[in-house]
Amino acid sequence: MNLKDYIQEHRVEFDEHKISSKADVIFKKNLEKKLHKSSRSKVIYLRHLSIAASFVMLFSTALWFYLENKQLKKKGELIADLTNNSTGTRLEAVYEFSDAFKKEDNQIIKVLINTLLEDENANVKIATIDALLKFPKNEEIRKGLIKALGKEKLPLVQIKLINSLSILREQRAQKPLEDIINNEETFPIVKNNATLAMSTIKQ
Amino acid sequence: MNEKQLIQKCKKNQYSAQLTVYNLYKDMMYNVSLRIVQNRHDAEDIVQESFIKGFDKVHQIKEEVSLGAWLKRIVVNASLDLVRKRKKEYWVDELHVSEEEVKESEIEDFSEMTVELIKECMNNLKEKYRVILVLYMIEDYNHREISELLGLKESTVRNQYRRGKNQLIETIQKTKKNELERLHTGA
Repeated sequence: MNLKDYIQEHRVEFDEHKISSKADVIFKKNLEKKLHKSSRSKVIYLRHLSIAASFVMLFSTALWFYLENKQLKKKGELIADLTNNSTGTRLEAVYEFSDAFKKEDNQIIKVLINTLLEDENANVKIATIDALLKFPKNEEIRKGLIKALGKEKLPLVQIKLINSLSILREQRAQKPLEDIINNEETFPIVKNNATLAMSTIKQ
Repeated sequence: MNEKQLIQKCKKNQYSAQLTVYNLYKDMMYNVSLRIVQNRHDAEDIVQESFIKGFDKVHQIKEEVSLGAWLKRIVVNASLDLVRKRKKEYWVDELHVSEEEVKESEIEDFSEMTVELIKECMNNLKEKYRVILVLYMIEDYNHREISELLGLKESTVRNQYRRGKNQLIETIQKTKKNELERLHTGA
């Protein structure tokens, strides 16, 4: 027998120490903290995320309401200005629509078409045509422009309408254009524009 | 539950399986570490870290290795790291030393031998010898494995083991002699 054999024969006696119960408790805590925190932290993370999402939603909703209210207020003011007795105010309102309203708004478009048909001031009408041309695909606007051409008596506005419908290649404008061309009271310059427009549309 | 099932569950990070493994091997691990670092507090810390590390890397365990041996290797490495940290550059390869230079002595008479005597004498050795003797004689690692653990040449480990063993035997014999003399004097 050698010393190592003797030790190995009595191997069990060398393992006489026991780890403390305090160490057991600490180990359990460490194990949970280091290897099982992911699921717990995931829950905490999700909880935080849901709280943050709720805040974002709340904030977004509040912001949406705020902006929507602001837009509604702005829209109401614009409609009121478009029907104002003052020409300057109406003109400003048309420019305001051109600058600030990027989306089609049927209610405002309806008021603008009405302005085009009913307003007495040529400048307001011309500005309105430019404003409406922002949405060339809008059927109501096209119909409004055709209707206005059939009704319009002011030469400058007539020319603006003729050129606009010519650019839009609006086939339905042929009838009012014919009427303008055939009308003896029509200014020659308007007739010329109408004739040119007619040939462009027919092409 | 057999060891294979236990390993599989640990691979799935199952808390209950990890606790079972801890309870199975905690005292073994603690004794291994304590023999190397010789401090209860440090040994407890090392055991905890080793289990956590073991569970974290359990997917690396090879089928042919037992869970106990694998965990033991981790705790030995962690304990040696602490000893290195405490003493800094500790085990150094021997230069120009052949294996034949150190002769190994052996105990001839085990009649008066006790485990307590071996432990006591081992603990009185220089740390660099004590650790190698612990790893070889008690933990049953061979010289090649110890050389890997300590990052030394196998020849260096063999020589240091022999020197350590010779010192251990010398100390055991001296202690026994002293005890005998004390007994005689007492008588």
